[in-house]
Amino acid sequence: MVSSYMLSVLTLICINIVAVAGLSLLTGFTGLFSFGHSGFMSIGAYTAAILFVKFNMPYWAVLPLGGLAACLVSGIMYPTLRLKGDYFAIAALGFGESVRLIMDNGGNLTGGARGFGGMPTLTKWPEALLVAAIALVLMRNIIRSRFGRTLIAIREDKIAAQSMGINVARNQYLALAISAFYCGVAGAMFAFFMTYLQPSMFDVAKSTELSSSVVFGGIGSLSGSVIAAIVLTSIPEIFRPLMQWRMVFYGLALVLTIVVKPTGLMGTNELSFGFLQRFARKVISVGKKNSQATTKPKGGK
Amino acid sequence: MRRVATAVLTAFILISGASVYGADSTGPIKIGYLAHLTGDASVWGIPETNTAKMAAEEINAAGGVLGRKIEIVSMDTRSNAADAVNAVKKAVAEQNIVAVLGSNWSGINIATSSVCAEAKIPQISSYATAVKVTINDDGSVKPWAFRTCFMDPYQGKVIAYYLFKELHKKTAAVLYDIGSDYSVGLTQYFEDNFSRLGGKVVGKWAYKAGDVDFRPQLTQILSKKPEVLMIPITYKDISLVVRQAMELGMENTVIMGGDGASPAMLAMAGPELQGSYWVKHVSPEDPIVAGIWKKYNAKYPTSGEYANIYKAYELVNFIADIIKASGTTDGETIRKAIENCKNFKITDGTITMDPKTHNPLNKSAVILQAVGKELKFVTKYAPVD
Amino acid sequence: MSTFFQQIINGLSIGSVYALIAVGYSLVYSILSFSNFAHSSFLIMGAYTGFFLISTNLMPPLLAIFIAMLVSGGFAMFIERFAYRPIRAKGGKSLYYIIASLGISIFFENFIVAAIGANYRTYPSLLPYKAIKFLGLRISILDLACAGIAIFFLILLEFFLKRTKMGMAIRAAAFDLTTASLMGVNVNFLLSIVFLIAGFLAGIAGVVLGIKYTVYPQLGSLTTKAFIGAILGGLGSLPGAIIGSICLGVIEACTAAFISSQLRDLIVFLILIIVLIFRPNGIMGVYVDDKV
Repeated sequence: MVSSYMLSVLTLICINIVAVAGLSLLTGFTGLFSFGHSGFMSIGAYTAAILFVKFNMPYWAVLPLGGLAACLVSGIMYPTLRLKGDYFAIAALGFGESVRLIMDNGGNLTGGARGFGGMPTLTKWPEALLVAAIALVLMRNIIRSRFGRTLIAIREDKIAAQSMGINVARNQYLALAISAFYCGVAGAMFAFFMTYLQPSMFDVAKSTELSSSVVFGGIGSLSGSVIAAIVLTSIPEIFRPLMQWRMVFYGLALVLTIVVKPTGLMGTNELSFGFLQRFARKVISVGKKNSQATTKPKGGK
Repeated sequence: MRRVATAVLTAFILISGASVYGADSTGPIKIGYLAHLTGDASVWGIPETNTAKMAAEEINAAGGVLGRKIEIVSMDTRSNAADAVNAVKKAVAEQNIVAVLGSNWSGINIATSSVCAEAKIPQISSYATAVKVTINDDGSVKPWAFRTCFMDPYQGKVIAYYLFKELHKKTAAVLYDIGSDYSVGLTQYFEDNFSRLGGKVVGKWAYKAGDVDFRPQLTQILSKKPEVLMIPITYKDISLVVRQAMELGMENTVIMGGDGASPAMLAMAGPELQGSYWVKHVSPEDPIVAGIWKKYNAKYPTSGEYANIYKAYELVNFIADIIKASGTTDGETIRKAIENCKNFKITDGTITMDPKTHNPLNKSAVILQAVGKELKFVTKYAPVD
Repeated sequence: MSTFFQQIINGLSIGSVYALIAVGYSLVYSILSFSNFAHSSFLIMGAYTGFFLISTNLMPPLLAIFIAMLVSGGFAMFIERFAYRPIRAKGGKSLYYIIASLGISIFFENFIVAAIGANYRTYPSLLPYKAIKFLGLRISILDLACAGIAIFFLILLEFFLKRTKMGMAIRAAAFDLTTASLMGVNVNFLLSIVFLIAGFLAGIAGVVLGIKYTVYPQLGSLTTKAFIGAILGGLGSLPGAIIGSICLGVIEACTAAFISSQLRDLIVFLILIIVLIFRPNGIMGVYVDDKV
């Protein structure tokens, strides 16, 4: 029997998958770490909520509109792209906090700190699953396209890419805009899941969660990011009893992942049957080697 | 697509494997307590949860409820609404809780109210004071949401009336937290009432949670020479604000604030806070409150949050008594019982619920003043026009 | 506008704390070209250690503070050795450093919350919490002391960098790590020293912050303001970090006072973006280019 609790966790997982898929384009494939993507979720969420409640626009229209709003606002980060990644990361932090402040100061439009409510629960698991599926297919196609390969080139060696004639900043910005769109849509979905919004729901902790999912899953692996999003959303639920120590393990896991296997869970591989086959074969061959070693005759005296 | 579907299904199986299916009508009565066990607000959440467990133990030792023991199911909000919603959903699905008590944060309670409504179990907030917790934007009441404390509109009125009518102050400046629904709300209600009485709010300045230096705002405030500095914020910020205000040369200005205050702030800024006024729900000198507080500190690490400790104790006993009086744990029945309780005996006094707002009638406020190392009781206060 | 000069004083006070933090952060950045977000953890380490040592009343406060600095310095060296060195050995992508340092700061802050508790702790008063009146302005004694400490350590750092052999090696490494190692500099040892210094500075900053603003696990979040100050001044430049931070403090104070206290951080963010448009490398404009 599947309880409404499990279905709502599934819905949340799908929402996070959409956001993380978008962010993986920016961090995983373009190599830009962001501390502020919850700001884009916030813009998407509030835009969708306001359009629905105050202008009576339908659910399926406000989702992409939320994404579009986030996409447009991402333009303000353009000046930071010309510089090193650290500028971008910290400016993104400032961005996220600024969005929150704007929402806090929104008065009657956004409800400010006291929140904005009145959305019905329109994001249920079928809708969430559908959007997540579409988002993933789209993202996979983007990554496999020439644009995707350009991004990987930029991530690997910015200067070499530039000398090949690639306009680094413009491509980075496109990646940012797409990631913003995805996060905006995820935010819009979230608004109709929670039915109530407060600016504090989209804080640095949320941004960090999203960016960390991409890292865990594997920088450069879309399915890795998806798996990480699933794992990171469900783990807190499974391990509720550990409560206070949850975040401690989380930080530790982040460090250990990067130090031991920087390429994350999946590395640059994508989950596929071929991958699973190779993985299985490797395990079997290692097992065989060990048993051979122990049965090796004590030769040569 | 296939990979994603496989991944999703795996997660599904994981989660369902980890679930435990709930009890029936002969096991313990499970009552959920929603509180912040991690994050900044755990300073309130942990004492509330511990007290709830302590109260449950006492009730069980005295025979339990309807012949069954009560069990507190602790739900961690993680200081954010999405997690709180999940926590409640999980407890409802897996533990069959019959009611939700807590939390003391309005934003979280507003978010969880739809979950409780769907599950048909009542939720009683501890100290969530925003209007929207029990009343929708259109004025209708939320059938399954209740509280047993006063609201921010009332609190704002208390502060305004006390300052104007009792202390005869006519000008005030406000320093508030832009990101806190509590702070923003209280500021508005204070200003509305104070202006209506004839007072003047000379200016409102804001800061963001996490800020530690308020001197830019305070310098501007002091240049306007207000008679009162109203600070509807929480205790750590209060200590820093007052210390810095004194440093900048503030004198002869009355300081007053709401229920975000706590005795802990006197350890941080005792000398500077002398003579300041604070509105609270209960007084630490009330013998019943003090008694519960002492019991708590004997059993758990010492905590200064006497108000939250009292409230958790009161709520657990309240719901236990409601269930006893109703003779059942059925959601709709106990909901009606709470909605219609008149002069119902609670730990300290009685409560009459207003069915139209799900707020208690005749809950007066308590005014405390910082004297020495404590917050001393000044008076019970109910604003009279 | 009559409060203008007082606001400048307020801004300088806020900025000087940011400066102390930003310098330690910039030092690491100038050599390794990565943002050490774990800097906040070194700061918290110093703040808590100092608090606990002083509370025990077993030693003079100055000694306690010195030990706190040593502890955070040691902690920084430990992090470098076990978290950053392995990454450097594997290629040292800047993205990895950022993530590792982020993980450390999440781990440490939450560890303190879980193990020690989120309660706020107050340093016993070491200095009178009073202000001097000077030309109608009020300057707090605590601020003067903190500014004094900050200046003292910055001068010490300057002396170390310009007048000692180790300092010269560090400056060489900041210019080009690979060449410096070819010149015979023991890079591992050098990096340990750099982190030790960064940890020292973070430690003393932590103690100063703890005294001014009380000690709590989220104290480290002030480092993000310091990072913004360092960016404003130009990443990779130590004078830039100081100037940028002080400017940031003054801008914050004036914005909150004269423009809008509700929108302060938004306005500061916009100013940052505008500065980055016209002076992409910050006020001091040091551009440490990637060498090919």
